[in-house]
Amino acid sequence: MNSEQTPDRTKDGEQWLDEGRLEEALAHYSASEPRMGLETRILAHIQGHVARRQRRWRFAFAAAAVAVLAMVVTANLWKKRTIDSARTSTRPVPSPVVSKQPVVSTMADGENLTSQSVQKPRVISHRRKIGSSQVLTAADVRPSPPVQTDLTEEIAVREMRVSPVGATPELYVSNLRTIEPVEIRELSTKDRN
Amino acid sequence: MYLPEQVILSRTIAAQSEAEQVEAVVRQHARFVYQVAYAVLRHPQEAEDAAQETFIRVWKHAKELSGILNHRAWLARIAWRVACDRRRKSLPAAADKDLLDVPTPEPGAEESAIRSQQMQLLERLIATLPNELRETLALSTVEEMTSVEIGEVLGIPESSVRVRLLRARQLLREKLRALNEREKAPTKRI
Repeated sequence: MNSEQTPDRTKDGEQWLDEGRLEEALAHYSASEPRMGLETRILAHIQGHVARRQRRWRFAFAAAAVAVLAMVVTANLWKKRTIDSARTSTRPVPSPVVSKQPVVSTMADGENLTSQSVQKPRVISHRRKIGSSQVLTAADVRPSPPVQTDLTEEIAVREMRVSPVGATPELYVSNLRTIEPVEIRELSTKDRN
Repeated sequence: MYLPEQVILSRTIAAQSEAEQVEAVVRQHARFVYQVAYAVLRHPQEAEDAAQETFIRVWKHAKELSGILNHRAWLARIAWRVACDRRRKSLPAAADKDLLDVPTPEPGAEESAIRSQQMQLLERLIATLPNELRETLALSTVEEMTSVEIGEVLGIPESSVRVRLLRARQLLREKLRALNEREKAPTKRI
């Protein structure tokens, strides 16, 4: 193949060495004609590009609007939740300070054995606690009176009997007082005078 | 936002005129842009794609159209850059393809066969030129492109364009002579 082309090329090369032939060859170098309807195809391509771009922009706007809407809704929900939780947390939690007086006193001093010992613990003041306040159960706030066993009841009765009359309740006092016999004598005139 | 009717109307007219301007430029210079792209890419389909991309860029800068004095040089510069980008991207595939993309001659047409061979040879020789000389020479082969326009495209003065063209042609002739001498040698041996 090389041997066949070589004479032609040599011939062409010799011809191109002339100024005119080289110029002519160079003139044909970029003389390529486009296919028919190049302008129409280019305009159609531009229109398609514009349409695609518009669609893309619309989609971007729609996506942005949806995103903003979602953010607003989420923010509202979060705000509402925060307010609710703040309300519950700032509500005054009754945290009574229970008096340090013993609820049940020892039976040694009979004076304390009044109805006060059976009463609820005295609440001195309410303090407002916000946030992580110590949660008190109902039992802590209103403790039930200690259960009286049979032995403690018996001890209490004995103590009441021993204790002075004035200090005991009326109920017990009436039971404990001995009724002395009344002496009945005849009324005489001497006595009247 | 409330817009007065006049503002809306003027905007609509402006938009229409931009579209019309672009259309006019396409109809006037599409072939020229194609040829600039073809001078770089040496492939008809690639050149057409490059021309389309060029006019997309023109459309993006349609607002500048009214302020441009020489549309041809401006378009040639855009087409040149687009074509160079495309060539860079498809360089490995196009390297071997360059020589194959020369239009095949019609069967039996001796003249076109000779021209095809000449073009193949010329393309090989141009491909061996230095980059700056090759670019200048390729642009100079585009129809009706002056050395001033080539200078604007390449960003060099006109005198440099002339010097480069002269140098490129000298090199081509030297290469042709060398080729002739090399090809004469084996024939003598045979």
